Amino acid sequence: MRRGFRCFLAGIVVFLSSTAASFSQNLFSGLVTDAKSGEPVAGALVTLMSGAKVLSYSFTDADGKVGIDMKDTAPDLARVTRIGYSPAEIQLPQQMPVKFSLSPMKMEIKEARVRAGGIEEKGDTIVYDAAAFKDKNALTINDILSNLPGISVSSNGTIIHNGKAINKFYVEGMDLMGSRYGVVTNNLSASDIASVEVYRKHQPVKALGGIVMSDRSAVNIVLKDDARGQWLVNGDAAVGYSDKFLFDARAMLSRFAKTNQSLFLLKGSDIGRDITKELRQMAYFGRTGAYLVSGELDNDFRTDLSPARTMLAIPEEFWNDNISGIASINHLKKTGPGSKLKFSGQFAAEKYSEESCSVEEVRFDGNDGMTIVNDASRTDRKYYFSLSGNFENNGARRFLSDEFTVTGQVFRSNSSSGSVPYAQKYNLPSFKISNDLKSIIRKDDSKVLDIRSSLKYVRNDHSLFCNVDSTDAEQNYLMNQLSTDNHLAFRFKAGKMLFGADAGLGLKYTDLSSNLDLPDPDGNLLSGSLRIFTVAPSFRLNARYVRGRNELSFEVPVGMKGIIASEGAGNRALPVISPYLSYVLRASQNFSVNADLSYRISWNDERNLLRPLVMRSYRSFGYNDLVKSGSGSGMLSLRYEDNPDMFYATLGAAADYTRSDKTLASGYSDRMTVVSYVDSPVDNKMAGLNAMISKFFGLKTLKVELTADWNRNWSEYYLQESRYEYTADNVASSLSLKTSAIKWLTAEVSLKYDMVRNVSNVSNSRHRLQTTGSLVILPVPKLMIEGNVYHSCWYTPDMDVSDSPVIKAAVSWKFGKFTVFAECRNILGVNELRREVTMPNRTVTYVNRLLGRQILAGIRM
Amino acid sequence: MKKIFFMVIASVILGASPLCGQALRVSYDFYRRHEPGGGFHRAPDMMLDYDGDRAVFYCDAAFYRDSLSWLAFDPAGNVRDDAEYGRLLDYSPALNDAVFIDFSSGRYDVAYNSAPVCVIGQDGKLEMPQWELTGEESVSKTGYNIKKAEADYMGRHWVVWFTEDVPVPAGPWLLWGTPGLVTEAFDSEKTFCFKLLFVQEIDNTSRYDELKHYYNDYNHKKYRYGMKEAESVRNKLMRDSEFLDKMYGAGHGPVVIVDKNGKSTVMPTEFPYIPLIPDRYFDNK
Repeated sequence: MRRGFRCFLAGIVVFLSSTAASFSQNLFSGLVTDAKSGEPVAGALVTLMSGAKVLSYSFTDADGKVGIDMKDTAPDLARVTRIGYSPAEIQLPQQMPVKFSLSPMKMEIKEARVRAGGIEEKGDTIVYDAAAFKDKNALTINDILSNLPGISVSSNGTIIHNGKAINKFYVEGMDLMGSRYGVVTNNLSASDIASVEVYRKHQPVKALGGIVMSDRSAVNIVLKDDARGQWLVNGDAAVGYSDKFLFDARAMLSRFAKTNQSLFLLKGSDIGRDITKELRQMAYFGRTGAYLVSGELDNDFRTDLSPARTMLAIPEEFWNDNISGIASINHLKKTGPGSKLKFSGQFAAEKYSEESCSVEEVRFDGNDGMTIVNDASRTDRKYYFSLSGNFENNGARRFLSDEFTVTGQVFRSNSSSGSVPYAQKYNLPSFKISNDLKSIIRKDDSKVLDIRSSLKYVRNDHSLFCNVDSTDAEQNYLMNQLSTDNHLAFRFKAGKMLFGADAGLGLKYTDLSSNLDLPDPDGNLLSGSLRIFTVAPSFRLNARYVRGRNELSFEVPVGMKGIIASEGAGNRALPVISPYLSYVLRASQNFSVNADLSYRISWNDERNLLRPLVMRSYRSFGYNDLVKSGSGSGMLSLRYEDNPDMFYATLGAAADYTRSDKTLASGYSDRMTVVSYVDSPVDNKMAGLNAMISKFFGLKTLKVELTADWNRNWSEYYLQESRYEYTADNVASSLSLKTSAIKWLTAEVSLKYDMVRNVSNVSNSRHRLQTTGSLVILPVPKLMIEGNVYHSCWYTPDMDVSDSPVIKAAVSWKFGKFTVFAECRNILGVNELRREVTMPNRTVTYVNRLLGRQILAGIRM
Repeated sequence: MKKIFFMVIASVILGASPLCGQALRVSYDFYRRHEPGGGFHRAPDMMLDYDGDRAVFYCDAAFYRDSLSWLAFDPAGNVRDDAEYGRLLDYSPALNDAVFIDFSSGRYDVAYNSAPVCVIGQDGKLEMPQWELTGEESVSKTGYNIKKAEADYMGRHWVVWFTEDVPVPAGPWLLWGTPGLVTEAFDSEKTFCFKLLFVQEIDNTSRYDELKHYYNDYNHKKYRYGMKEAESVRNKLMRDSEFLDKMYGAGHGPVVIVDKNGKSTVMPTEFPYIPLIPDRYFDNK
């Protein structure tokens, strides 16, 4: 038995040893280590191959060791891969264990170049692939943005999404430029952009997330890998000749990294571009987005004396006679996970000239009337600066932001005429200091405390000197205003309801004086001064109820404006109320309905208490008055947005009723036109419809957009002390087609028709048809030939006028990072452009001088 | 004590090495036919999260939708947040399945969500395709240098293009083990096709755990099987809606559609379906 057991044991030992011997002969063993640290690499895939075929594999253990049974195969290659390391290969056979030393490696992930349809939609974020929407002649971000479905860029540069101005503009997730994002959109090269992200319903303040809903979108520009975090140099240089030497130069140095961003821009031009508007502040987070008057960089600097600048319906390069320069210095540094420090300086200088002739025909009762001819030439000089510093800490629980800004402007304008011998000189220096403080404290997931305080000092020391028929007149207008606006708000969420209660106190001290030095036989009040102290307490309640796809929100702001005015202007307490009700139904991901109802009792600015006659130009005068308005308005809009199919449609209707306690009156005499108010109530009514359909067939194959807009206004006014009713119909429609279906060709054509008809004691109307066309051809990939044509026709009951077409042609050749170009603007040398403006009882025909033929050549980067 | 302190610090520093946190999120377009010669059905947002040790292949819209479901519904299935419930409908997943691979243990799990029933296949043995490089090389539309490989795997002959520019042995579904990331894959019958859309590095951890947690714990009607049974049940669910109703416990008679003229049509209960793993693959396993 014992002998048998020994034999059994011996057999086992022989079997095991033979097995082990055979196993060891067919076992691949290896050790994988980190070349840098020498530490074992766990989880590396070791693959044994024979020629091109995988034979067997295994993963390394925690000690970096691997054992693979090779069975009866004879691998000739062992390959090791592990994420984060360069792969390693060793030819077999080798002495076991085979040692692999892996070098750490940063993978080069290529930028996504293919996305479904060029648009990727994930919940509230839409990602547009920049390459898919970039035209052949695209130079800057603006050229891409204007091609994106669902996004439009207004004439002043504001980016609109879903019909509303965006509330934030980010580059690589940071907000370097704030509301002056036009500097980026007009200058950052389109070739550096990988994609454009749109965040719908974007709430910029993290602490307000989930408690205060936003109905606006934000745009984030995502740079290409090779542009991110790098110093980017962009520049243009061009020279040319028309009736003067032409130049256009730009140099921009920018860097958009994760922790700091910088942008330095220097730009100068006299080729008809209004580059100063790139420095304008757009409607933005925390700003009301007030309407910007053409030519103004800051609305606080506008007074009754500020002259308006002409805008024509063709590109400004054909008519904007200026020489201008801007400089922009901006730096943002991220000081913590949510905090940042930002400094910026903006500088602009411009000399602008304008020559025009206007013929204004005014019809009074019966056939009475008068014709005013003004053959004017004008030269403006403007110097502007703005310096600001901003700190922001945007944490999940705390938000703190403070922005200090100093702004100044010197604006001088001289104009004269030969038809009515006059000369007028405006001198409009302005200065502003402001500080905006915002603090938000989130108590928990449902409550926040919101504190806002702004302090502002504005000084406008404006004057106008006129000489008409050798008679001098001088108007001086001085305003010093110190104001502070403070709000304490408590916002909270209770179940499906979001509530907000806001208590505010506005204090304003305004020192005004107006002096008109004019020979006046009519006994008008010509001089006066006023000190006004305004106390404006307010209380605002708002609530939003969200249930599924329905959102109902209302707001009831109630306030009072207490005015204490000197010089017998009287003290008064004016109620201000503006309740607002809004309903949004997101019926599906694509379709939404929005209905708004609002009512408002308001008063115009208390500065209008200053009663003396103000001279606004050589023959335009006005009396201001405090006007109370009560208005109700309703709006309904239906929006369909299908990003995968790239089909967009909106249909809207709006109605508005306003009752004012005073009626506007115009009085014409040989010497002057005086606008004033008559103490008599007036009703103004408006109703309108608008529709838009936009469809992209393929990304670039064909884009079709059709818009239509109609509105009718009813109102009353005084003319030569007689009261008239009027209705005004405005119709506008447009059709635009664009195709880039062929790789070497882009064609675009746009037809716009608009009509104005006024019916009063004297009726008038005018129709306009505008045609624009653009053609871009690339006979060879580097050569681009471009042509543009603009044409307008005017039809009135008395005449048909066709403006001469304005044509531009350009040719460019691309050399790597820069392009050499030559272009001829206004090839036909058209010298003037006609416009017909119709208003109740008035028609004005303007003829503006164009810049003439220009030839330009240079390089762009 | 000082030594322990430094060891702790050193381990934290080593643990925080960027290599350890490196992971990829890869997006694929997935085309599949439901019957031979039929048109392609497309799932444009299939995602692969790969961190070297584990991988999960899933539908992005399904991930967002499932995440919102946690917020929108309470455990009893009642709506508790209307806003999130409203947002739920913004996500329409084309395919609500997930494949979980644990390379270290050599196992894989699948979750087939045919709402309201979820079939979970557990503990499948992971095998690597025996890829053979064909020697063909090209450049992909996404700009990667790519090579071709073929293998018989899971009952089909698969052809893949992979890129060594991204040297990770990962790919869509269970197609892994190539010397680089799979950029395109299709079977020899052209019934299935995966196409790479984009790759991104992710600093955060992959969604592996979140998705596993969701499929395992959320209040679907769940059935857990071994891999063979799971495939069989899943295929039947996709082909027979009455079977789906029975699995959910909501059996009902035929559904009749009556049009405006009074004409009635019985809604079909049987549908064509071709699974990624052929029906007979597990017969001898």
